[in-house]
Amino acid sequence: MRRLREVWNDVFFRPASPIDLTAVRVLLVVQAFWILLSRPDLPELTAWPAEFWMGVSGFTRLRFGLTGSLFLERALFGLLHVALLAAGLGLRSRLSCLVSAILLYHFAPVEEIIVGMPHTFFGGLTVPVLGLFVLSFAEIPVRGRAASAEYRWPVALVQLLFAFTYFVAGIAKLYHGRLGWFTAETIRGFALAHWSMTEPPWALWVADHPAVCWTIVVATALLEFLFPLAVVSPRAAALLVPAALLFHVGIVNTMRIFSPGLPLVLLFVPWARLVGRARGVDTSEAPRYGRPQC
Amino acid sequence: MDELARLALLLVFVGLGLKCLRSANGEARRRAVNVFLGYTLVASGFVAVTQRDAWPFTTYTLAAFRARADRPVCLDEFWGVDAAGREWRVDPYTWSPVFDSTLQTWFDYYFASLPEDRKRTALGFLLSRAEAGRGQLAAGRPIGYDRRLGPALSAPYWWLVRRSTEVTPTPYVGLRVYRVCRVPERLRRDPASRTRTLLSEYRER
Repeated sequence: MRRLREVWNDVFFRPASPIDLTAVRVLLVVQAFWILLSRPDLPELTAWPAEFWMGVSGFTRLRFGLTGSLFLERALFGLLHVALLAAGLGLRSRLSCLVSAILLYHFAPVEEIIVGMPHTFFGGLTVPVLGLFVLSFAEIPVRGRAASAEYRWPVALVQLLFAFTYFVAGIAKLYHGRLGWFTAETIRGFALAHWSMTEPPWALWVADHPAVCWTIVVATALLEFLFPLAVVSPRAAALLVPAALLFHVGIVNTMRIFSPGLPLVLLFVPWARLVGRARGVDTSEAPRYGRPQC
Repeated sequence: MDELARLALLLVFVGLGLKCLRSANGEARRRAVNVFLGYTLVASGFVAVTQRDAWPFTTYTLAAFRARADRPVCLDEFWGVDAAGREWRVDPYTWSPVFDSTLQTWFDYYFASLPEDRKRTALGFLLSRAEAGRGQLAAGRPIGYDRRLGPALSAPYWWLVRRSTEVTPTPYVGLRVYRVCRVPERLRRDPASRTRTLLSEYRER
């Protein structure tokens, strides 16, 4: 129990530089902007005929605050852009992060709301929504301030929420596919099914090589179940983040599935150290398992 | 009511976060932050273990089921029809903000249950969208997800299906929806084994 508390304190409360927290805020904002600028028509779904909305209950509309007014939705979409810009620039940081999070929560499901949001988690806005909420409750990073636990826990939590992208995906495979998911036959099935729909360039080669399929199974299991270690250990992050990038290159070429949230792997870059090195300043953090400061 | 429970899960998260903000420095604040962190982990864990999605606390169920290469894989396809009767595959970005595969799912879930007049309303709307998209593409302008950032910089939808940006210079006068099925194993041996069934057709009056 004591050891667990030490790890908890180390992960969430070891002193960290305000640069790390600023970097997380900028990354979340840039990611959200990238998706929003690529989905310029989100408010327009409001104007689609009622036939397309027949599967969306009043409770769902209430849950996401859907107004039903095209004028209002366009205005809120505009406000979201302003709020994100302010958050990115650090203007009224908490308020702009909170408004951005609320409006992202409002708009992110729209892309798939008419069919019950089966893949909204994969749209690239899940971590920004939760992350911007977290930042709106956190200390505002001030340039030049000393390292503090207040700059660490929001960073670690956002990293952990990103790590769940992989870890929970692993649990989902266990839940729905049981241990039988983790076989070469499953990978072969996916490769051939996707080849039959979108002809990814590596699909047939993967399907024809059982050893490759098994390698993918093992690599998938290791990456998904171990990814939370990237939050705990910078060394683990240095292994797992490049592995995740390779994993996604493989998925795109075998299944033509792209992860719009992928740029957020940059959350694991030690920004304060990089900035310190660039400036020739030692920004090394306080000793591990030291007395937590808050 | 499930929707309200999902909303409540988020509202508690926000409430505990706000409590962190209001707590003074020291032990009280550390306790508030620990409760907030603990709640976030428990909420995420609950959703993961029960696989009851409560986005943004979510299940990440992509590719979680076991794929079989000996079972049929079926997709719906939307085709525009020009005045000469030729068919043109409608580009998947045409329906933005809804992606092609999402529209297919809507079609499979709900279209058949609509009365005839409402089916016509829905298909008429889709034809107008298809024609608008065709006009933009014919003029060399980007549509949908590419509209602001262009194809090189925009974030694509997660499923990278093939685009159909070559369009007829003449307007669409009709829309057809087909179901195309294939068994992957069989398709490898026999490329002609794909079946194509007309599900619905709409023509401008």
